[in-house]
Amino acid sequence: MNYNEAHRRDRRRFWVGVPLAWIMFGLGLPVLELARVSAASSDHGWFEVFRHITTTELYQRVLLNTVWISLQVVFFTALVAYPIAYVVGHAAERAGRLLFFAIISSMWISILIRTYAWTVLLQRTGPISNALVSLGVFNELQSFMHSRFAVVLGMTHIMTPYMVVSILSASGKRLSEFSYISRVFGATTFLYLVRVFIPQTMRGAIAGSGLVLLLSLGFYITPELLGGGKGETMMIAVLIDEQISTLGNWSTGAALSLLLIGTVVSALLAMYSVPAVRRYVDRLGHHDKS
Amino acid sequence: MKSKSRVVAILVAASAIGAILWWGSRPNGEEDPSGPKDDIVVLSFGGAFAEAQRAAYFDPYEEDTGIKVVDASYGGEYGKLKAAVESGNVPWDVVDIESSALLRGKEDGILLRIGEHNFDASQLMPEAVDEYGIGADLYSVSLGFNTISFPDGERQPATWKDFWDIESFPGPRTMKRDPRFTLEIALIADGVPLDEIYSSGELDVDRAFASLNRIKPHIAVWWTTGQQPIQLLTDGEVVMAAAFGARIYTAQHDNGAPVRLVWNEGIIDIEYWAVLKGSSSLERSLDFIKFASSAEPQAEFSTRFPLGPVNINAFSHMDEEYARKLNTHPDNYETQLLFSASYWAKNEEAVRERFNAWLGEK
Repeated sequence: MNYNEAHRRDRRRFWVGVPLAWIMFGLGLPVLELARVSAASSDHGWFEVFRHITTTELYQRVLLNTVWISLQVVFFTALVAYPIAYVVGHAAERAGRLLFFAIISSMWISILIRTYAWTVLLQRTGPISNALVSLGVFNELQSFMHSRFAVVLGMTHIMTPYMVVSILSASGKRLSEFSYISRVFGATTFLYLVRVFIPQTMRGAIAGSGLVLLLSLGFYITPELLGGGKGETMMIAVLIDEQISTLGNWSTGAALSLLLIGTVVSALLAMYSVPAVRRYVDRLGHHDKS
Repeated sequence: MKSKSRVVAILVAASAIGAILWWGSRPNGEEDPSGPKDDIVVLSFGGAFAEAQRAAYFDPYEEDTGIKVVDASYGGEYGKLKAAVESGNVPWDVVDIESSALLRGKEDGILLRIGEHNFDASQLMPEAVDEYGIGADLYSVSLGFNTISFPDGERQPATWKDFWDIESFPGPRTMKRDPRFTLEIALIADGVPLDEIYSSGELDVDRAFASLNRIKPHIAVWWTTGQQPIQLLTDGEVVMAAAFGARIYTAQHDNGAPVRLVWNEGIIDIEYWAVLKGSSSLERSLDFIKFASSAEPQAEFSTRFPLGPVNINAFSHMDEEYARKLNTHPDNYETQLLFSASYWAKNEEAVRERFNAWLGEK
């Protein structure tokens, strides 16, 4: 290892370390404080609270439901984001920038507003229902709201920009060059997709999946509004909010929060333990060399 | 060295961000607690509700006493009150809370006792006077229906039995995703007389869930925010709702929506003014509460916002025809069930857990 290499690594540690410290400061301290308060204020003791939430069927089921909905969102987000990323990545510079801006700009609108937009679109008297009736698909107006379908749809819409940005960031501006070179060497579009585009962007897709999964696990307002409060759409954040806001029950609320954080960490570790994923993630650190 | 100047730049940027966050996190509209107090901070629910309170209570009180009333708003989260008391930083002199929060607050010891403070409560409904809180107004969770689905001239729903009667009144419904009110309604629908719902202080939870099982497939939405059921009713997404009476009232009378409010068999609950431990001055807080529970301001508030007054004499300061439409008018009050906050304070945690589990059952 030469001096330059070591120096670069130090610098990287610094650039990763400072933001990480900042994040841990904002996340870790409140969690520790929550744990401290709850241990102090619980009538039954910290251990008893944990035993209760880990052995009660409700919490197991809602946690599983949360993970399941989040995984569906990851899947559909990737499905929607890939074609978008393809188009943006291969567009002429000006058009590409415009498209990229259009995708990013949707993140400026609050999640609440975007969720309400879906309630307008999906409700019984909404445009989708009306269009399907006039096309003769349905005989009478149908509501698409208040179901797991609506929740996954709404969350996928909100998450898509994150995934597109992640996919594009992995390959950057080189995509159109790659595409050009592949074509020069006689690759068909299909071959280009399979051998160049997808491998080149896979790292971004994995990072994006991790991001979308993490964000989805903690979702609150979208499942609340689009899910209609039914059991099948209940996510763990709703129960945490109930414990903290409604009941002022720090101990159970904190225990559920820790359970969620544990789930997030386990989900990431599980993802990392898949060999193919691991290969891509490990390559991340050696980016400069390639 | 280059990297050194970078460290400095980052530290500067980080402190700038920190400063912005600190500055942004300072509570809005609340005076610096260290400064001289010549105002009173009231925590209430915001929106049209707080506007009516401002016109009826805050502004007249400012005029009478010269003490400025600053209003802050929240969503009724009990956790917020408890956290404020525990952290020792209570920015509010008076808080507007639901009866369940009052009971829980008593149990957790976060409220100041105001009982011994020689409060003339003779004009107030006896149910609305507590050692730790004085009634502010009364709200109901009531039946509302869509008048396009069930038009005048035909049979219209009038009881919770009708709400459960899918044959005569077909269509999706909505109820509050909350075991409170919902379990009481399920028992009434199952035929339990109003005066036996809380017989011997308990609720027949098993019977309530058995009753709920029958209506569950027809509940399209378990609502969580007060305006949700009103929107669903107005849009015809549901044909019937168990919703806040005042909101149905406003949609029906002020906004001309095709909805109708039924006071009969509503669950009526009291909202209280209370004072948190650590508030700056109990005397000043009580002075405001005394004013706010006197007859004329109470009448003014109820005229502006369709919630019943706790002051019995308020009705005599109101338009008689309007008074008859309010939930605490004797004609309506007697047909409703007074919510038992004491039952729920004891049982809410367990019953809520069971309710959430029940929601997920097939």
